[in-house]
Amino acid sequence: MMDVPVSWYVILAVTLFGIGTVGVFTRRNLLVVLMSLEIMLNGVNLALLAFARQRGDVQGQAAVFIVMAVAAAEVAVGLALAIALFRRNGSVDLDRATRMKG
Amino acid sequence: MSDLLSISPMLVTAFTGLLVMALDLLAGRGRKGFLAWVTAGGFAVAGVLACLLWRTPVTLAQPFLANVFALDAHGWFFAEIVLLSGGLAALLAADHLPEQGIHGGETYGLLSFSVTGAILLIVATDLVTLFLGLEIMSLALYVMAASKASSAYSAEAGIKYFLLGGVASAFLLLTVAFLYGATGHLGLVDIARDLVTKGSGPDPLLVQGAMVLLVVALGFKVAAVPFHFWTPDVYEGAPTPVTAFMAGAVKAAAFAVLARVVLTLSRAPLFVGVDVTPGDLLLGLSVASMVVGNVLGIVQTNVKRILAYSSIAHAGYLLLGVWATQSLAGTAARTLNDAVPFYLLTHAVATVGAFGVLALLGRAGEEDMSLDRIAGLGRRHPGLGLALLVSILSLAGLPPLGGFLAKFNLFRQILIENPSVGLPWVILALLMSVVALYYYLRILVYVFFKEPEGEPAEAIHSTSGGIALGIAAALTLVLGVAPGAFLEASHTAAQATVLAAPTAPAVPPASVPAVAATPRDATPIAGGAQAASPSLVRPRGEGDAIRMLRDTRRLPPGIDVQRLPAPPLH
Repeated sequence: MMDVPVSWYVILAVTLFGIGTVGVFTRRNLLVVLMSLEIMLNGVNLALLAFARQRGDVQGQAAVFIVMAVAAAEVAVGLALAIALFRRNGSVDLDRATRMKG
Repeated sequence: MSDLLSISPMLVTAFTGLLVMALDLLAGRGRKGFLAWVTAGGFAVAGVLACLLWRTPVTLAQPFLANVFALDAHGWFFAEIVLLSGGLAALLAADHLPEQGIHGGETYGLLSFSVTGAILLIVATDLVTLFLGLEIMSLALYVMAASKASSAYSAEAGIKYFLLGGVASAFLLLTVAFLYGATGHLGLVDIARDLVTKGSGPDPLLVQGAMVLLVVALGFKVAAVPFHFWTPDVYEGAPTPVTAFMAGAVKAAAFAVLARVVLTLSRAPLFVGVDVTPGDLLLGLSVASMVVGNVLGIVQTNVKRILAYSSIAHAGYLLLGVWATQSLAGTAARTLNDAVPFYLLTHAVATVGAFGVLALLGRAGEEDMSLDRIAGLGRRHPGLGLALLVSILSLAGLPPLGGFLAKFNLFRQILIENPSVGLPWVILALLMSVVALYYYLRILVYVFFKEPEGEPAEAIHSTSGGIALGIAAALTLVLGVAPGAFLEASHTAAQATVLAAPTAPAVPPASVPAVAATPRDATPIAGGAQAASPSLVRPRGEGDAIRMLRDTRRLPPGIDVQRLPAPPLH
């Protein structure tokens, strides 16, 4: 554990973040998009933790707790929107939700 | 206790939210209109408190507050913009929401929390606090945007805003993580100081990546091209008073934070060895926003969408102002372009006025605001027509209204700051303003000179909405005719925007690339207090800092100040 250099954590974190970003922009199912958003945030959390551990500093770890709490709130709002969308369209497909263009 | 007083505007808006939610439970169905007055009253109290605190500067005693808030002119100026837009939006919503089939009172509570988050975002000097403020503001907005359950457009607006906003927040968070990784700090002042004294650290890629991500995240929030795709859809789909709040308050808050963060951090030599700087990114966004916003505005037929593109274009002008300061970071400019806060104020007032008129149109769930449906409005409802006229002309930047003075001032300041580099871009901005005249005047032609072809949008009767429109229109006029006090306030706000980070360079001739740090003995207030009242510790002028350094350390002339050891700030 201690042998793993911090750059590996950061690379993994950025990879997770990238996977999440691609997911948000390519997947059409709102629930999968929400999951992708969570992956992005968790990638950030991993980076924060890696840096905090590298420096032996608690600030970064405290920040992770705050991010987790905010992410939970965000998902609550996202799921509420998903329910509203499902009630209206009978599906959570984002393509079917799009009416406005240009 | 005094700390609680110092942050009382935020507390008042938060408690207003709780109070409104409680009153919402007690009030009978269909009688939620008074909640708008309670909300607006709460914002007014918060606004007065902010004014009082502005006049008598306070220092926060508790370190955990002093390290995360900067209660200065910058904070209060933008907080006033947010409170004003929020209050007007609440008054506009009073009769709009029931007409649109939104009978609950939750919009007012959400609005209060959103305002609280926006103020938190504006005064934050700590990246985690800043993120929290952004999320408190945004989460409430997502729900408000989607709050019209009967409308597919509203749901779509909410989802689009939520998804893209979530991505922007994640980008901002990655910025936070990278800056933390590079410096080990979360406070803006600490980060800026470390970046100057220690450079970008062992891995400059972290800081460079962080700055790019930061510009992307904030570019989304201010609706700059190419991160603007959500803007027209969200502005169109959201209930109109909510749109007014977004276009006025949220844009101002986002710009406040963009200016503060980018300019505070840009003191550091961030992009060593790379040709692109954050300033270049800002310029790119600015030019793209001016061009795309104005050109696409021409082809729109829905008034809400036209105003959305107008809002994008205004983001372009404002970014040009921030860029003009930023591009000089290494040489002369010490403070934000004076005109930017004033511009945001006039933009907020005018845009709330314009959306406000639309909010008072359309009966029983009608939400189509195409040009045809507002045709002849000026004849049928002269009051609404006049309010729209004033707001649109101010947005277009015609004298004698606030928008003209704001735009004139902005471009003048850019030219004063950076004449040679700024000139071509100011000319482009002026040309684009002329292009914009086309779609602004088109709205007015429809309102005053055309007869409706189909069924025109009927106005709803709303006392509170009328009062809000009156305030907005009067203020737009005052900002254009008697702007003295506002310009002065804008000046002090701009002075306080850049946090008292280590002094940037430049005694002429530029033999000194960067000063190590403001010496402690020369600047009596340091550390935590620095975050609390940057205006007190900002060196008085460009040469002053270095003169102080030379005085206190008895520097012989010609010594490279950068090589001096950094004195401790804590």
